[in-house]
Amino acid sequence: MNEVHPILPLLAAAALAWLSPASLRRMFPPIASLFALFLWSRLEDGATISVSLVDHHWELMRADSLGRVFALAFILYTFIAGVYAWSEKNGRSATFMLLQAAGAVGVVLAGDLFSLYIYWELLTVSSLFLIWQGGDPRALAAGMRYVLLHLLGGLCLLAGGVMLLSQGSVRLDESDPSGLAGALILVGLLTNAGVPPLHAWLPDAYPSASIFGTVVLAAYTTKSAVCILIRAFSGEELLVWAGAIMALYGVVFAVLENDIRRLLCYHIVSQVGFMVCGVGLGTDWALNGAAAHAFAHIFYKGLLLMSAGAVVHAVGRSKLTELGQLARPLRWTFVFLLIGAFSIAGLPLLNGFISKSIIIAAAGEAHRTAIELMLEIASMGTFLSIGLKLSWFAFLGDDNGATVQRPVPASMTAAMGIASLICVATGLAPNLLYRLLPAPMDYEPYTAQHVLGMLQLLAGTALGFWILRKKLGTHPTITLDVDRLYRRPTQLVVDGLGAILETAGRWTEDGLAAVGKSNWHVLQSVQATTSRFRLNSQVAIVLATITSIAVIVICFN
Amino acid sequence: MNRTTTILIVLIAGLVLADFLLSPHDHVTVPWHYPGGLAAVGFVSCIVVAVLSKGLGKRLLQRPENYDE
Repeated sequence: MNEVHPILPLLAAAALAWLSPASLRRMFPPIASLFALFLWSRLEDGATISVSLVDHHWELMRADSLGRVFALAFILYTFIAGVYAWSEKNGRSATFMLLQAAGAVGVVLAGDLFSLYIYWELLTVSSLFLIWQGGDPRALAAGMRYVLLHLLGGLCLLAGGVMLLSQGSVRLDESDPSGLAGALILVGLLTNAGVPPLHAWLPDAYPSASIFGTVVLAAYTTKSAVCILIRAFSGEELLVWAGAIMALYGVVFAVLENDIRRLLCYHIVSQVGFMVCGVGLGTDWALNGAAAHAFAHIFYKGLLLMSAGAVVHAVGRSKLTELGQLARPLRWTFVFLLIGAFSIAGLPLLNGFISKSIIIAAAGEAHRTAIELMLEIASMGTFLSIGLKLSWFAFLGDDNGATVQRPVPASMTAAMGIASLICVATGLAPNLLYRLLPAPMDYEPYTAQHVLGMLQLLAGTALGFWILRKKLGTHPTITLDVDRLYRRPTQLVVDGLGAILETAGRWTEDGLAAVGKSNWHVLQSVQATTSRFRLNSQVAIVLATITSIAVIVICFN
Repeated sequence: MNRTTTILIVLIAGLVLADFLLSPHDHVTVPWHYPGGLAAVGFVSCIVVAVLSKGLGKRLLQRPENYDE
């Protein structure tokens, strides 16, 4: 067994970064990702790392073309994000960034469901800490909401895996998840992919992180979930509709959104919708499209978030109602934003055109007319909200008094440049990406029909935007999403249970005080335990509930 | 009708013409695969999505920024 997992340099660097002095920490992500890239290049189809432990055959790695193309995107992006974060003052993010990358690469290369689960939880926990690096109370609260939902999703994944184990194999290339086990695994995956109604954590938590944090967070969690969906649920009809609706849902909220980073995060939901729809369609074109779109998305979404982050860094504002007339002072940022915006819109010569269009064409090829139309409209909405609305109101349009307070660091510009290069290179030479795709690929992006069709869609959208541009200006509002349905009720339940526990704790103390007045040491230690318990009662309640559900599910097997 | 609008309309007309001349239109099964179809989809759906989103926002979803305080 002479295979070396590409995540080893990432894990090692994460540990080293934690122990290093602050000035050295930022070096680790770019350097580690280069080592990981080298190890990636040595991977061959079928390369396996397995170990038999605690009565289970763990397949820590089973490389195939699907896993390798996702892993490549994650490793390259780690390099870019590492360069972007060079100027970040908070050095701890380097460790969490590397752990995220390790978790994601582990997930897409995992060979069995339980190994997957370990990598999955690594991803969740490192994301949580990255969100918390945001530092303010909003980040703390958003992180809590994030981790509770993701732990629940992870538990569904685990429960489904346990059920699957009792039915047969949990190897990802062998198992056929169906029935209750399949449904549970699907729920876990959909939570991480951000499929409505399990999506609200994304626009809630990601923008609460620092600008560097959001740039890192956006790439790994949702896309690794998409990879596993492709592996295990391709052809699932539910996903066709879920994806198409999701693509439109994200776009509608993006049109309404005032905060530029939150707008881009709603867009992640929309773009992942395209991928989920492709998974559901299940044809060779559709699956390749989903994988290609995921690859391209990591880079152009990263590019967009990087430029939005650069704006926030330079100007100190993130709301469209407070921006405007920044094209001249932030020239390069504007250029890079436009490259990202036109990439995501699917302009020919950029990577969005050679990836997203495959899914739409696959829908057309499969005669799914309604789906094809929904995806075209979602494409329109993408161009509208990012290519037109965001670009116009942030960089052109009315002057709302935004001025450059501090310059954009060279490292940010360099990172944006590298990401742009990848977008342009894959757009001009699509075979760079196509030869890495899992299924046989015979899609020709650069035909007159495809190019002219896309240009017409974009031009029609531009005309509509221009006519309505006054009406499309945003207001200083927030938009309520489905998480409002469960945020307050959950808080009430947790407060209620916490109150019950506090009362019980007080009774116990009073009772003990009456009984053990002469046994002072005993009383002291009991008091210490209950007061510690009271402080963490909320977290303890939730953890206890989740554990009980887990125990019940396992017992039912 | 200002200059930008004119430029866009001319651009769309040019693209539709190019589409008509250059693309094969023999196996067309859906209306928007005809020349100009996607331009119409883009324009009409842009207006519809913009209006619907605004309506949804005003009536149902949007709140002032200090909602959580």
